[in-house]
Amino acid sequence: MRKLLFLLGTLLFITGCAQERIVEDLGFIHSAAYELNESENAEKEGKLIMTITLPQIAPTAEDKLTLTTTANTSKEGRTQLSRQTERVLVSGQLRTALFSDNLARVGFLDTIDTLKRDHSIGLNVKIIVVNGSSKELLMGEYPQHPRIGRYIYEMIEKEAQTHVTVDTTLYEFIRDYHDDGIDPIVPLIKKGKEELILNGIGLLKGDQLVMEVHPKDGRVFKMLHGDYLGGTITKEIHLKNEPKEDDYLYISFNTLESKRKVMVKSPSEIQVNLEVKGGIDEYTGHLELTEDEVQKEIEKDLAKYIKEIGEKLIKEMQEKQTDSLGFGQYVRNQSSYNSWKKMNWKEEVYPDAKITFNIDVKLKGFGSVK
Amino acid sequence: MTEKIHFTQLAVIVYMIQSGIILFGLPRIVAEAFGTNAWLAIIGLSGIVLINLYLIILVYKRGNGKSMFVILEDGLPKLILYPLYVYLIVSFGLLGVLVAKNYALLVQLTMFPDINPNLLLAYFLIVAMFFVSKGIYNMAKITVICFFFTIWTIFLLVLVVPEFSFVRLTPFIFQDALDPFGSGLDAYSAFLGFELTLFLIPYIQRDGTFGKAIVVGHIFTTFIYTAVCFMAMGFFSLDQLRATLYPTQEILKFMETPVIERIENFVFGVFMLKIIVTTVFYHWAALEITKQLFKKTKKTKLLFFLFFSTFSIATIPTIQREVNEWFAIVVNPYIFFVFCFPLLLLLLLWIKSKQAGREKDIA
Repeated sequence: MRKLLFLLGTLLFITGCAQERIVEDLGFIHSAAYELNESENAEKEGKLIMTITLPQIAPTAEDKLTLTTTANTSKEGRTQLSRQTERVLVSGQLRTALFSDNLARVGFLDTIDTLKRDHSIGLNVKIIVVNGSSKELLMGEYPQHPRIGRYIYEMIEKEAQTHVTVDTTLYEFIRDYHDDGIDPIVPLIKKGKEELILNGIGLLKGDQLVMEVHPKDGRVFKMLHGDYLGGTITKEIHLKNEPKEDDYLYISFNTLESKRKVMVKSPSEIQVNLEVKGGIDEYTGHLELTEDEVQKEIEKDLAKYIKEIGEKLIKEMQEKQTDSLGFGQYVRNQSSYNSWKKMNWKEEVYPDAKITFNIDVKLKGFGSVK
Repeated sequence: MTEKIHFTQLAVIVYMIQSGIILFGLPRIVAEAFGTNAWLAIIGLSGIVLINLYLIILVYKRGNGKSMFVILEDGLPKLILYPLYVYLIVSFGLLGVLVAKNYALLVQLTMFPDINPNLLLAYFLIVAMFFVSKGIYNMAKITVICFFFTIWTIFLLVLVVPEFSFVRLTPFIFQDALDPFGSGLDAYSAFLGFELTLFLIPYIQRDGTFGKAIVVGHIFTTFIYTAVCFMAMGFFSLDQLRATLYPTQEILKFMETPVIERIENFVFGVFMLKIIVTTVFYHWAALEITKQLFKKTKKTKLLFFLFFSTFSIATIPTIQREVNEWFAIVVNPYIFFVFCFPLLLLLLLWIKSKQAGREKDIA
């Protein structure tokens, strides 16, 4: 009996040796970038330019490891990249997936396929679109930020909190792609001289990038997109009784709080009610902000501004046939199942739909001065 | 005083046998079967099971807590009885082991791609064998412990509440159903396990709570299934859900806690306890019948032989598709059988009571 137990015990313990994974030997892919190969012999070389970064233990520039190759698919690329390093490449720590806009414009769901298929990849991988070459972006030298993978990840995360952009995860991307009443949105970044710059929000139709929202309009876009807290808007302002004579007149609203309500009157008539609250944290004019009249005028002015930007954005979205704000979901839920299935929402109804905004702005405060 | 299975234990056993590995795929299966808002269908399916449970309770009441074997052996000629026993042994053995094999394959697929799944299965079955060898009363106690080890996972659903959206749930009910019958049967099979309570009848406390216990256990399973499917349907969009093999696992994959990221591997390990209970009880039922067939053979020998044969059979299918095909072959007639089996027992009891009545009259 004792021998049997010993044998069983040994058997149990040696299972640990079945699949060894030693951390030092592994290359954790932190960011993977994909780009469409537009060179002449793309057929021969492979259609994708794939670049990956591996985080290093010592954060010095010499230590940075970025590998690149050309292949037809992501996993083929990984096999080729593996030939360039002594470490075993694993994708369990993948945090960001970058796609060049040339690839995003033709559609990149095929490339994303491997991300959702691979069990080791989490659903919280951030999907990012790069204006320009994603290879150059990852290969670039950023002396202030040697850990490029983390730099990208944290920048997107931080900027999404102030609603300049979004931090779309793999889960959200696939979810909205498969939903027939909404289109996915992605953050856009580009390469600066020695830094990365956030470049707004990319709107997709299906899996194709069709429109870009300027970072300045990002907050208004997010107001139209759903309920969010945080973010700022700075704009020029000319109030009625402004005593100041020069043109240097600006106002900034901070910690904006926005609530959206979508009312579907008919599939082709949608009203969006927005409730916006914000505080003033910068004002270069000379008027007394404590006066009710002035506050009301500022509220009205901001509402007008949001409406203008909103209308501009929605007009472009309708032209590009991208329903990034998810109005389709509301129309769907107001219709009967059969009429929704018959309705060609995105191509026929939505582009000509009458979408109106009803904006109610309230000032929460104006800082610690009178 | 002899030991008996308590009300709570019985309810927990019913829940633990019922819920198992299918929970990982259930939201997709119901979405395929019934389309939009398919989570409501779980309640409907559960209703059918309740009818079945009512029949089992009737068997308990009419039979006065008599063992199922006594009823069968009294009423059926051996020519029918023995093939029935063999069918039951084969079904129970296969159901039990295929669930385990499926789990082993899933572990291989998601965690250790270069490990032989049969090795995992062998370890799993060794533990299961020791589990069964402890006898039914100890098995009941271990099951309760396993229950407490696993039940907390349901609270993880709270973590995805921020991503839940009623808009995504849509107001449509059962539209765009792809395969109501085929996938519906799969979804129904998620409730299987309650029929094993028939075997437990002689071992439970005779305080009349048998019916209440199995219904409570079943309702609890229904609640868990409904909650998971409901959350999944507001978390995923319908087509995404249908394109996801194991939605529940994906939900776990999405969760991030401040301490651990990618919590699913951990939960997946904990889930083993649920699977093992299912495997163990099916093997136990198979063993009980085997004991009826080979009354003189030593119990340990039978136990070893049973596990050895189920293991040997389970090594034949090597991929998940094959396992699922086998499973469908076993489970589809079995669902029908499970429904009719209490009816058969009731019929036998009725004949018996008629006979007894007639004998009384003659006397």
